[in-house]
Amino acid sequence: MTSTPHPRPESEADDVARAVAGDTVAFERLYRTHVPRILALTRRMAGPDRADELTQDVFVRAWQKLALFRGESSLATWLHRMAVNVVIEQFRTLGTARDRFIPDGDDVLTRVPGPDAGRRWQTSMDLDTAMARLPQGARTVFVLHDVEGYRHEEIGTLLGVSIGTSKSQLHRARMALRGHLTAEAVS
Amino acid sequence: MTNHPHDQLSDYLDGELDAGARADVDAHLAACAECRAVLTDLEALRASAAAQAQAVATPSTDLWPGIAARLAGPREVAPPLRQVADMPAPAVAWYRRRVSVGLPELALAASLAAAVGGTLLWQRAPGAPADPGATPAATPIVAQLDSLDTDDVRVTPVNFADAQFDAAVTDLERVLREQRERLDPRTVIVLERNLRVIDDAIAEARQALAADPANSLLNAHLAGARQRKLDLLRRAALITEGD
Repeated sequence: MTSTPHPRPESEADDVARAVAGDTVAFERLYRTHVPRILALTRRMAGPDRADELTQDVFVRAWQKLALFRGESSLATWLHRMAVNVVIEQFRTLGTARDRFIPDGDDVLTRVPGPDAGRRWQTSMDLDTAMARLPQGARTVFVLHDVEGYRHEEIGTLLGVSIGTSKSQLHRARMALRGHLTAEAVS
Repeated sequence: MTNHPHDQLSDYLDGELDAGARADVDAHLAACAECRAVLTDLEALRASAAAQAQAVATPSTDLWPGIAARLAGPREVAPPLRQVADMPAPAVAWYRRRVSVGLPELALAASLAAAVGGTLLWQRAPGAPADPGATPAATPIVAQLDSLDTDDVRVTPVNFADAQFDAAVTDLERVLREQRERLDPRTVIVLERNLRVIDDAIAEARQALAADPANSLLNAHLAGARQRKLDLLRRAALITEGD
């Protein structure tokens, strides 16, 4: 990551004000501050292949809508919500069977360990890898609920699915992840 | 033991089961080592996932050039501002809560106003002369169009006659002087900086108009700059009275 092109201003709010007024240098500072978290989110939700492009989409949209940011939440939270929406919109745009939420890749989801599954995964890298193996729908619900802390009601609204579907997808994702992680731990 | 309630364990873990179902799962768990192991795994998985929320990632290549190349398109602007002097008390109270303004909000004010251009519809109450003794609470309030029930908002056009504008600015500047200590010092810095920018714009417009009084573009520019100044002052005054 490159350094910021100018000395930091006295506050992020100052950069927001400058960016709203059209200052791209100020906006670049905001980008460099927040891109690590946003990129991590897009990678979790959409996978590494699409994460860079989606992250760029997030910041372009942030630039377009920054005048609507009122400071009622932190900029980080505002960007985070925007990133979730951008990713989900792309899922909808792609509209592939992979992105549907039911039935959603049973060959992957049914990989549940037996009763002897007492092994434990050790690293977050294990979890990242396992999440990447989930079908899109299950991964999205899992990331939104267990990683990002969204409630099922919110997930249902975001994805256009029922609360019951969100709950069942979450459980299936968890059981599949448990299967992946415990299998990896003994391999 | 058969009929393991695996499909209920996530809801159990998240506290999503009703009391009866939870009691059933509790009873099963007490007797089933397999389900206890599954539950333990799911709990560990959930904890690992929550820890991921703080993760960061580094782009493999710098994404900024690709972003910068796409910034030339149209941008959204803040919704127009409207006078709400006559709005119902609940709406005013709601607005006050909404604009419990801190530094970010205020820092945005000038730039937001710049983006909005001549959309501020602030005015003293019709027929009411500028009253240097008016209390802050008697001053009209501006609010965001999208945050209000517009059926309840009476919008009046702005009259930016010099005398009225100057009186309003004088009034607000007095309020801010008197209430300055109630503002966060960082807010004061941003406020004063933005006011200087606007004052410079007003001075430039007036100077240009002296040479070309009939220039409609310059007149519009001056009116816009005045609007921005009034908007910024009003927002700042609102902060001082909003505690």
